[in-house]
Amino acid sequence: MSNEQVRPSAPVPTTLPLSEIGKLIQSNPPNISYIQYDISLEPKYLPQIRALISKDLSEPYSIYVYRYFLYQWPELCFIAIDTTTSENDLVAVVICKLERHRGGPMRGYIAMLATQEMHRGRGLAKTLVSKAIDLMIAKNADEIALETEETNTAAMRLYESLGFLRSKKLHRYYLNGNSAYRLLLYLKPGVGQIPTDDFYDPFGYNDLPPSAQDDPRFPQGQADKDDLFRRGIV
Amino acid sequence: MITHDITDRFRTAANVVVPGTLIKDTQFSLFEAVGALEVGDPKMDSGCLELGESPEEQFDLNSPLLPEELLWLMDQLLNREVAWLTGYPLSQTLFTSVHIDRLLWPDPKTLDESTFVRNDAAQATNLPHAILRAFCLLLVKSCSLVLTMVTEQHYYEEEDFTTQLFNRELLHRFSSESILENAQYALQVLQSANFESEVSTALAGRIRLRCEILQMLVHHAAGQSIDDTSFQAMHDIFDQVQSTSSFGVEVKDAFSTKLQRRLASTVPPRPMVTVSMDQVWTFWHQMLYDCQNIFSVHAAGHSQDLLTAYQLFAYSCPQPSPYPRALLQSFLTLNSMVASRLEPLHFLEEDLRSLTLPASPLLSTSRKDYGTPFFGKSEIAKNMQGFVDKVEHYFITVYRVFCLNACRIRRTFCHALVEWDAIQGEMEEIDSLIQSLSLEQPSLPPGSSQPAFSFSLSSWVYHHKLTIHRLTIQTGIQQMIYAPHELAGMHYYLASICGIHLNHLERMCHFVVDRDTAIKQSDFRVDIKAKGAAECKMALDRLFRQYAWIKATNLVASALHIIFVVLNRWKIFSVSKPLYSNDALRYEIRMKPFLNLVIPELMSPEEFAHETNMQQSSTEVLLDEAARLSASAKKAWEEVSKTSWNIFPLDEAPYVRTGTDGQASVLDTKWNDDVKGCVRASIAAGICVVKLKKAMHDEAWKEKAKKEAMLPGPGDKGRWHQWWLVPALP
Ligand SMILES: CC(C)(COP(=O)(O)OP(=O)(O)OC[C@H]1O[C@@H](n2cnc3c(N)ncnc32)[C@H](O)[C@@H]1OP(=O)(O)O)[C@@H](O)C(=O)NCCC(=O)NCCS
Repeated sequence: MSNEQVRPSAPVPTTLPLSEIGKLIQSNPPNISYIQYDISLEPKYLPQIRALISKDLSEPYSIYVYRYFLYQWPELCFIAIDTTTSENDLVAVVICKLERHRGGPMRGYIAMLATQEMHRGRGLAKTLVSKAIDLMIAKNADEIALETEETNTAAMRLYESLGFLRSKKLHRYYLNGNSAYRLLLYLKPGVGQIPTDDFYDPFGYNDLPPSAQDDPRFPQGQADKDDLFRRGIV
Repeated sequence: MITHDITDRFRTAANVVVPGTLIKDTQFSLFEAVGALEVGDPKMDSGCLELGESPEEQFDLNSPLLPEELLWLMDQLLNREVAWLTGYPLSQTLFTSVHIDRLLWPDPKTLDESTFVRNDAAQATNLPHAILRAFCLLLVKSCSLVLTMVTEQHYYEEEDFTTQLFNRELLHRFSSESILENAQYALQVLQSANFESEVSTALAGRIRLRCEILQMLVHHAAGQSIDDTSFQAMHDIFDQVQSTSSFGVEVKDAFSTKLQRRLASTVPPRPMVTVSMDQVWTFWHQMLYDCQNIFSVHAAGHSQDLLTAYQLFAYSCPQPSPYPRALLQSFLTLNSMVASRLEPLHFLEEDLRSLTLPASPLLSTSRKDYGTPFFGKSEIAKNMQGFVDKVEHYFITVYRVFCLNACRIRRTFCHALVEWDAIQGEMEEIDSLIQSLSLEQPSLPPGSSQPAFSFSLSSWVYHHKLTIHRLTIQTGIQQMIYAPHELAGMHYYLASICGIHLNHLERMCHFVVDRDTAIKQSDFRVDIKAKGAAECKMALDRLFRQYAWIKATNLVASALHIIFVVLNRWKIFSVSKPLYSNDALRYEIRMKPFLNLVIPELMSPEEFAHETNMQQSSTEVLLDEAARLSASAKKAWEEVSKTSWNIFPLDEAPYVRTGTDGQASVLDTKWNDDVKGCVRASIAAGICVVKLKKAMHDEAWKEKAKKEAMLPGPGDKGRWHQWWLVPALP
């Protein structure tokens, strides 16, 4: 009889508080610096952020979308810069928000993430996301959510290697007709039980025409408000 | 309209604000941010023009069209129609056609007014235009019928369909007949034209095709299928259309996104959406097949078989597009009957009769036969009514769910499960009341030492609830919701729900047998006794069939459970630690749909991990067990494959289409393919086990497997069945 089965799988470091995890995950490749975003960086970095993000978008976001996040949650945006370039060019970025989700849990939301092609595979994205998560944990987030295109294995692997799980699939979520997965991470026990002012309205159970229930013009009737943010890589 | 130039005032005001100041309304939401336009960016601002660019599209509708250009335009329209039928908005598809635009705007008051150039006598005699116009009118009218069908059913805006019409009426007020008549006229005109014969035939084919499509949709709106001859004719014309598509000659500027400016001023310009021409033909053939085949559900002579039929369509690969799914959904309420057969109440009673209430006085349709003079009769009837009122809608909804897009099927099941759980509790109360009113005697169910009551209504609810529960997990596997390292646990959970269901089915059988005995010993009339015995036999048949299916499912799930446990032990699909999470937190996310169920109560994360990982058993022992399980699974599915999709005799309704030329009916084929897929998956699981056994001590293989092991996605080679995710190992 082999004895490999008796060896339990590596013990989960359950004793390690979540706030300690980041250190173990973040990497510091040479010539890369990480910076927490600040409004004062806008003239220099916003154009670069837009350029990097829109590369992977079928249709561009307006400046309002970027500012929506960057002005309300500047601290939850982290960038990586290449210190060998004379202008310290941007090479990776993560943009997030943190607010109560439909009156329920405090939800962090990772809105955009990209690494410049030349710098991929060096742990930049993972480090940036990890920094954002650390801050969300410090700010008492209950959970973190995001969507990613169903074919985006790189992103899915990345998030799953941080502990996220796919919670649902969203049909034709993006404007280009592709479907997405919602990924979710709970940071505290019992988050699934926090009530929201969610009105799940199983069809036909009230007398609204079904079409009206999901009408994008009535965002409050949407199955999920974040479903509106459905343009590209977010 | 009065306009003011505010440029200067705006500049002055903006100068006062230091860079970095955000002026934001507190109510400004992400929704609005996403919808907002950046004035002056041509990608967002539909009013923004290049220097010297005209705001209007350039196309001259008066310029003459070559027959080959006509043909190209028609094929382009078919193409954009496909994009629309798969969910893209009209503004990015058909409404980018200058021709369609002119036909529909300004809103024509008469059909004659719906022309490319209004009030122009010369147009009427322009041959190519008359032909193209006929084609376009048929097209637009078809769209109108499609839209009506879809919007009358449950669908998800933007996911399934985008219904925004921008105030265009799609010829709603004009009859299909008048449009078909106009097409006949166009066909005559075409004959008299001096077009080269091949092109002329190709054009005529396209008009005839559109006529056929429109007629088909008119039939559908009345709940009818078209006959097989028309159906075949349509495919033939499509083939002809496809083979002549290369004759087309492009017409520059006939499609333009500039038209979007007139549709809505506040929407950013969006790119035109087209599909490849190959996709056009594939889509149309598939859609025609789906539409025609969907009528075969009317052959189902029983609620159970109807459910099987709906499932077979729901899990067809590819899933039918939104229109056929809406058509399938429409059968549930056609003329207030379910599948043209029964009123909802009788439909529900049919299902109850064949599961927990054979030969029962509780059902309105059997009351007169099996009624016994209790003093509480009217009380019982009142309670039964309470049950029906509560449950009827939920029951029909299960069928409706199968008409939703695949993602929504799973998500709706997650919610339905919670509802059925609540209903079960309520129904237990009604059961208890009926029990005491009818002086029911308890009996001893199998494997129990305690006499029990039948709880017929809540037992029926529990059966359906467990089915939904199982499907929630299985659709999760189908849609790759579970990450590789979760698959051991999820297959364990699937097997365990199946196990609970099997026990429940045994309990149900027990009470049906009791009922059968009681009927046989009763002093009912001979014919009533015979009828009652037949009803009991039917119920037992159905319960056995359910049992066989769920047993087979349980066996594959158990085999895969072990396979994934072993892969986890060898760290072949594992995630590296550390994580911002732990087992308990992930368990909570994963089990969220089941967290609050009263029954079956969710086990603790520790118990779940214990049952999943089976630490106490050695890998060798486990693999022996998996070999046995996959062999049994194969046998069990082979047994299932000897049966047909329908348990009950097919309905003799005129709708029944058993395939032409002695072919098996569509549902027979789908059923056979489905069960065969499960047999193959069981075989594949067996092969996996053999590989794993061989690799027990082969560390090199394990390293190789870490790199090469894969989970075949939907449609991939090695994905023998949507339900079954058998890992592909080196
Ligand atoms: C997804 C993306 C941000 C990853 O950036 P990155 O900096 O290369 O990622 P990292 O180097 O931090 O990789 C971290 C983990 O992600 C996973 N990953 C990254 N790229 C991967 C790839 N091509 N294939 C498989 N897994 C990959 C791995 O698990 C990796 O961990 P490992 O290196 O320890 O195995 C980058 O590919 C990108 O910009 N893509 C386009 C935009 C996009 O898809 N954004 C995500 C929207 S949700």
